[in-house]
Amino acid sequence: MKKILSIIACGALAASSIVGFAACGEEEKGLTVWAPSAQQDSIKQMIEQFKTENPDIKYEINVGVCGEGDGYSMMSTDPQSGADVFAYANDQIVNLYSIGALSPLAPSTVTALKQTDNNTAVESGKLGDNYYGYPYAADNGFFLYYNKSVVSAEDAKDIDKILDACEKAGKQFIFEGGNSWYALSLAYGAGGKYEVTYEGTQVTKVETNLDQCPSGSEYSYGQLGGYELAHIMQRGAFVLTGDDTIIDNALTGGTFGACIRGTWKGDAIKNALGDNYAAGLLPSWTSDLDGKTYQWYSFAGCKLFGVNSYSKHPEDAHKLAAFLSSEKMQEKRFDDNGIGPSNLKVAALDKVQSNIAVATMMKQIADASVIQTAMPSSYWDEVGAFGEAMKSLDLTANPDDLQARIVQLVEALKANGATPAE
Amino acid sequence: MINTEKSVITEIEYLGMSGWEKFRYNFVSFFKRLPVTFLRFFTVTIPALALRFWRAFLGIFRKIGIAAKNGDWKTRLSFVIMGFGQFTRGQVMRGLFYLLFEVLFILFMVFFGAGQLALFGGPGYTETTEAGWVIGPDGSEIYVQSAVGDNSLLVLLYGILTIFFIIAFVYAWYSNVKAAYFAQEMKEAGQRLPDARDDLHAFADSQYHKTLLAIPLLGLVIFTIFPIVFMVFIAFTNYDMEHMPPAHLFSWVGFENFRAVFGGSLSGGTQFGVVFGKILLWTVIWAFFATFSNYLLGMVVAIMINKKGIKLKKLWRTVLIMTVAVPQFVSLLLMSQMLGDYGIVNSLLQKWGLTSAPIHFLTDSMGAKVTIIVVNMWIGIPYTMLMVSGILMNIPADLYESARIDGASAIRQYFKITLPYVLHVTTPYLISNFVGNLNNFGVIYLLTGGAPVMTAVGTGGAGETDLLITWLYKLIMDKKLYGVASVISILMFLITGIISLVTYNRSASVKNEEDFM
Repeated sequence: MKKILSIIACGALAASSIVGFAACGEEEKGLTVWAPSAQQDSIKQMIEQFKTENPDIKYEINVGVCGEGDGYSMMSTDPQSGADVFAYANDQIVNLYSIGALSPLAPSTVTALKQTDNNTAVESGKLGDNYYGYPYAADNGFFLYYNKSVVSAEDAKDIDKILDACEKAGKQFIFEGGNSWYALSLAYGAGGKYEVTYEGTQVTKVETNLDQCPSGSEYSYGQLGGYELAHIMQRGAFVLTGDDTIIDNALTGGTFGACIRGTWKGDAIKNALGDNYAAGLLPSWTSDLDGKTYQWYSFAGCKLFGVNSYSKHPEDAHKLAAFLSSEKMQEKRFDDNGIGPSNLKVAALDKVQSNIAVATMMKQIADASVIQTAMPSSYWDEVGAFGEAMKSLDLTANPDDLQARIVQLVEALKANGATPAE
Repeated sequence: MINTEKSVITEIEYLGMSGWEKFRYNFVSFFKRLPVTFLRFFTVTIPALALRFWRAFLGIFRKIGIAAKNGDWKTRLSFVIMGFGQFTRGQVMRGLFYLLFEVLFILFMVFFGAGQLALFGGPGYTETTEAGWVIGPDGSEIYVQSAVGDNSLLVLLYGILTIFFIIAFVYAWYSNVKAAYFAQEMKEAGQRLPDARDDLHAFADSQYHKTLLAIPLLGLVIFTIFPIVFMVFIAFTNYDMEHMPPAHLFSWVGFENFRAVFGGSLSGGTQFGVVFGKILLWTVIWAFFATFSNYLLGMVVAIMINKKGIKLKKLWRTVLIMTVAVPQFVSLLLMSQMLGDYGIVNSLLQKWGLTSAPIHFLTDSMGAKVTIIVVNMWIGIPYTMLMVSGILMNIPADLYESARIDGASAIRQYFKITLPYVLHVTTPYLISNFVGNLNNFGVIYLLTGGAPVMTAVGTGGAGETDLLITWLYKLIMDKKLYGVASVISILMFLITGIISLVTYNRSASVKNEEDFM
């Protein structure tokens, strides 16, 4: 019995080794690419093109579905079995780096990228001294969509006029004000700053001036922005929601006045409003506190292709990521999915400039935005709590109370850099 | 009914009281007793348990000592060569098993276990290096793969496995010594030792319980005890977002996480102590209201339906059971959609002109808390009704008949017959329901997801309606704070465990088990 068993075992071993060698002879390289579900068809065509352009090597490339914000949750338990190349939004970079899912770009590649692509986008992939992504889209931010029959192009430049027009017409102004992504956008517009420095995964320094006053004003950046946010959120036409279906309901129900949203909602609004569809930069606002007028700023975020540092074929994976973010592919991505390119040549194309949502987003990022760097998760928690508090801020109360809350916020944000000794 | 050991009034006095006074007396004395009950748990129950364990522990050493003192050379050699005693006394199979286990254990320790234990003990493992590019001799860029170090997650896993294996070995060694001495005694007394056939037969006969329980026990160890032990060890590490193996390894931090939960803070600046206290308070309030609102109202509904003279009993019952037929998560998700700020309820209210602005059913701290408890009634009442209906039909009708003849009112009948009967049967259900509600993930997660978020600084994204269990979910899934999360789950385990043990043992159902038999 034992003999038979051992013979079978030996045979199996021998067979597997032969098969193994045979596989090596063919040089087939297996890669996995993860991309958002809307881009699946497009990315498959790009991969076919990549294969035809590299006929010497036999690639076996699989495509999986993964949103730009989901890579971390999909890989955090086992990055070694994650995709070789995946799309991610730049705010995910610290998370992805912490699990070792990002492989750095070669210095020469970075130099080349800086020539061809929007530098904000290239820099958004930087952590420490290294660059960790091939930018392919510079369209992560928010701006104003409005209904021309309710809000005139002239009114759309001032938030109070927009709200007045909406109220007069009985229409809605939809904005997810309390959300941590939007909550400080007014404060940043007034000149507020937030900067974070990393060493590896550790935050070493956080700098912010939210508790300080702009020159010539006796109110701090945080106070001005927070008060205005509360002011907007307590207006009659205001609808607070992060739920895209509420916008759809407003569009079908004919109650849509204006909304603050990103490019992803552009097509739906365009189709519903037809000729009344319009988009513009975030409006300016006049503070009730100091009576001065400030611009409203968006976050500027980018999307990049990252290469998994556990990839079995890292050089090929880097080559593929570079290909997927190249000029031609960015143009194709705009044609297929209307994604705002980071490549300067593609961005300058007429067809891109004539797409209202994408063009407005790019103008917003260029003219009135702050770079959304890799925020530590406590940033989102603290700013979210602050935004939630602004929903019920008493506008008639002493502004010093609000300043006390801003000071607390700043302390909490800075506490992250002051890591206790381990 | 009177608890004589603690009662400060005589039975005559008690019986002389009016109904209201009796209720007040019982109510007050219950809460007066509560601290004493908890104190007794720590001063009497736990020390008694500890003493029992200590005695059992000493007993082990006594047995080993006796074997060493009275054993012959065969028995004594079994101390070193396991199974030797059995082997030389004719129990070949037993001896071989012991020996095989010893050999396996030594091989395991030499080639694997010892190394893992050394790494497990603390620092000294190699860190993972980062991937990068270097400039080659010809000026081209060459990619260098990252080299994975000693993955601390695997080190922890294998370390605990090794500890489990060592415990198993110690137990086997002890049973080997015991069995060797037992065999010697049997031989000396001139009795026949069981051979391999007898041993096998015993597993189908006198040792049948072991055969039956072997697989469940193995499952319990692998799927319950091992993960719990693993989790407890995680509580002493800095396993979090900044230390995700294999890229960034975690290590021991002692009681740092416990310190964080009891008032300190970690690098993120979250005040875990404050948040923990707040959430624990709401968890207890929620569990109390969720349990008793369902229980009392469910009982009321059941009594109403069960009442003589009510028509269409089956219809009413069926209608209420319909809510059970709809899966819970479906009802909850629907409710959360309907009650949203721009959901159908608010739209209708505004359309009818009853309100001008949306009512914050789920987005205001107080409103959300009330809504959750009310919605939970919708889900819970039918279950209580169903259960109580069954019990009500079981109460002997002659009890009511004699009460009626004696002139008892309906309310009196309820407090004298129905309530004690139902309470007696359902106290264990109430306790398990209360503990279940402490950990009621589904209702909170599906209805509000913990929203609205706390507005204070340093609350780390915790929500006003978060229970400990949903907060734990956020800490694990969103924040990856595995160390702190482990500490909180240990605390939750203690809280729910102590509450259920104490209340269960104090309940009338356990103490007066025969009352309604």
